Amino acid sequence: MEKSCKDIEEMLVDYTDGQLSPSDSSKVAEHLATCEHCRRMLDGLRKSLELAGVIWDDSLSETENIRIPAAKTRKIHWPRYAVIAASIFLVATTSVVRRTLTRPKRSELTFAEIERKITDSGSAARLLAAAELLSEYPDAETIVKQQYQHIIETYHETPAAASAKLGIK
Amino acid sequence: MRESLQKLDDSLLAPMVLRYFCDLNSKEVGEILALSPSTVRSRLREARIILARGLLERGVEP
Repeated sequence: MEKSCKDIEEMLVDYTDGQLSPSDSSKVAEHLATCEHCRRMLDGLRKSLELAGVIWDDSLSETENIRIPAAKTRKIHWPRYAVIAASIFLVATTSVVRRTLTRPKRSELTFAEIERKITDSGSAARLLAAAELLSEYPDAETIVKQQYQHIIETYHETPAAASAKLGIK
Repeated sequence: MRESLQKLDDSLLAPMVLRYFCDLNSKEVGEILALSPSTVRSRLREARIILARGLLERGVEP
């Protein structure tokens, strides 16, 4: 490994994600052209993300497969991802509510407000999709209702809030 | 790879799932997890490097 490989390695993830400045990106590309070690690490980063994506998709498929028998007799053992998703919702609720409460009131609609509305619509839609995914689990009934309620209260002007009202009934 | 993912600490796994599999950007991930975008990026870097090294150490050719 060359002396600069450690520095380059720390930049490789941002490089694959397109997060580097043009000058840093060129620096990494120049190094990669001459360093097999870092090229191998770059390939490893890409391949491992690809494989992790396949496993993620598989885990979602597995939850589909266990839905019916679990609903009949067995207690569901949630995949770790679903548990994480549930905990994320709790954190998200706290975070977004705090942000909403501290948001300054505006007397007229500004570009920033319009941008926020667009962002809120996207956030609400994503939260709704996740809540609907979790609603397939009987054990998740409480947290799903909380999530619907959160969408209704926090994103009340969005289409997702209307869907959440239907879902909570 | 599944084993490497399972061993990944939740503090690294959660940003990774949200960023790459839920298509959120670092700022959005940070808002959800109450982290700064730079912390999200550093955790993503750490998680990705761990997974890549795990793959390479097992002798799996990328």
